Amino acid sequence: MYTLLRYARVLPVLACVLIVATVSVTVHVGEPPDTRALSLTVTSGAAMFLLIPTIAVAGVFTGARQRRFAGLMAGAGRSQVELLISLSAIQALVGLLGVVAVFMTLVIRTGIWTLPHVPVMGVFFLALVAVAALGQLVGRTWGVVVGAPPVLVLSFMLMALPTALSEPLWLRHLFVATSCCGSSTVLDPSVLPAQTLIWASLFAAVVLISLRRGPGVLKILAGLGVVALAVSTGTRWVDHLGHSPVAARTSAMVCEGASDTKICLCPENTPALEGLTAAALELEQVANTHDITLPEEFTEQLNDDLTRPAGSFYVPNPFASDEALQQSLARATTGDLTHCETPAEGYDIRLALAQEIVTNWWLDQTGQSPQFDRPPPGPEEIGISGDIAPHIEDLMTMIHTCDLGLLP
Amino acid sequence: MRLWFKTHRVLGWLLPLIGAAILAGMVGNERLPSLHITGMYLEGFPVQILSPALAATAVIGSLSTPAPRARITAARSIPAIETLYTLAMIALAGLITETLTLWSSSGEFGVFTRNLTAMVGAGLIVRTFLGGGFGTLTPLIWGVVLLATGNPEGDRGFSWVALPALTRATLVGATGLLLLGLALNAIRAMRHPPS
Repeated sequence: MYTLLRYARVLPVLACVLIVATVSVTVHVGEPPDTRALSLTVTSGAAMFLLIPTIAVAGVFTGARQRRFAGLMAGAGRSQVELLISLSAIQALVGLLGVVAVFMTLVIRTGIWTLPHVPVMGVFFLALVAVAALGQLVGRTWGVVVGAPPVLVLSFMLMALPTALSEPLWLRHLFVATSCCGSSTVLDPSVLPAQTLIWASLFAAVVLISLRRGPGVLKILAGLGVVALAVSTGTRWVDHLGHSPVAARTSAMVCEGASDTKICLCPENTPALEGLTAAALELEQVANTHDITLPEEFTEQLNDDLTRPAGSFYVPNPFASDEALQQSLARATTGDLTHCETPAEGYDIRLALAQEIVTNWWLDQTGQSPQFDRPPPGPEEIGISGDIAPHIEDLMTMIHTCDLGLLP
Repeated sequence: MRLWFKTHRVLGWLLPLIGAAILAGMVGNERLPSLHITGMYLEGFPVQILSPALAATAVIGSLSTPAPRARITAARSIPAIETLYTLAMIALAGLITETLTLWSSSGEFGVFTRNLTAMVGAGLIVRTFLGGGFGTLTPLIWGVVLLATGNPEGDRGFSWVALPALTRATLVGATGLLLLGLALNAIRAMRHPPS
């Protein structure tokens, strides 16, 4: 590699172009029409918390070699900064192969054949470039034995702990995102720019400190200043986020009508439309028989505050069995209980019982198996004796309004 | 001996050793959330794992950073000095941690010393074959891999250091690792005498 570095004059230029292009891609991220690639790529980011320490330590070894062969590299006419940029980019590209490997594993396991989402991969690349550069700086200054242990432990803790802490919430979105999106949610537009800012500032600080000119203390102070400024700005960008780095999805839905109800799906789930329309027709027949009002629309989309509107449902998989699609719709007829939650107590257990009983009743009427493997609860558990059909409408209203007063 | 201590930068390495020992004694097996390789957030024992790993790194690191003249001018045999030094550092860190553990009632007596013993042993073994750089990193790599892939129940071959209580098997394992490490280290030092 060092021979290559001595002769390949274009390497630093290529590395700079690559890094600048990555930054410009990551800060201009829009909402993709198909979130599956984004979701799989973000999930692959779980590998980063092992890759970051690994590449950082690799950087320390590289830095220590530079220290040992300083004369040789100087003889080749290479400055420290040139070496730093070239080697960091090369090491980051190698590290990125780890993310790609995890991504491929996910693709094979889920059967969703798609390419990685480039802006998210760009942030991973920048993070790896920054820690490789930091490792080189430490290795060049202290060598492997002294430099590698703190770099390993600090980079691991940086990745593993903040993302797991419940307070402060902004901290978990600042370095890496490991889960984001689905049919109703998408990665918040502020997350990737904030992470880009943090990692790019760390890289810039290392480059600044590696410059030959200028007093050392001043360079370190300037580097710390750059990082501090970036952290405070990035913090402001992600401050509004909750536990997940997501925002409601706004892309147009694809809708198709059954006889009275409409089914609306995200573009990537349209293969499920046919099965869901058939399942909705079966539900309508049951509803007509018992004079029950169904939601006018079944949709995958969430409200702006990420709560589920009545009639909202998950599509388990576009190619799921009829039973799975029917279960999803049956669950949607009862609605979502999270809007009944109070911060201290959650929601009343009787609401959950009622929801399970109603869902299983719908499944039974359409000839499907109960929702769970365990025996379903009986209506007597919420005080209903005899046939449950006359009470279904009341129970559905009760779940929608969170009002237990309608229980018999 | 004094020169040996000086040229191995022992004072510099004592700081992380004592710091890790105090941390372990004060915090014990307090559970903290940590990201797992599965992408889930598990409550594990990062302090119980990482503090002995840091202390072990300090011990191996100080063995691995001599100035050349330290080995040449040593009055006593190098293997004997290194063995004595390693055992003394383990005893010092163990004494600090276990005293604080009894005082603060924040963890299980002996767990830190067991883990430190095992990790120093592993570090010495790796140092014999791959050199000081990798030997110094070994305890931390063990800790990081354990936190990333294992669980606090110690259900894998390398994750018994995560067990929050002492068992006979883990004590034998830790002592065995240390003895093997010291023996390999001594053999290496005898085969490659300072010249």
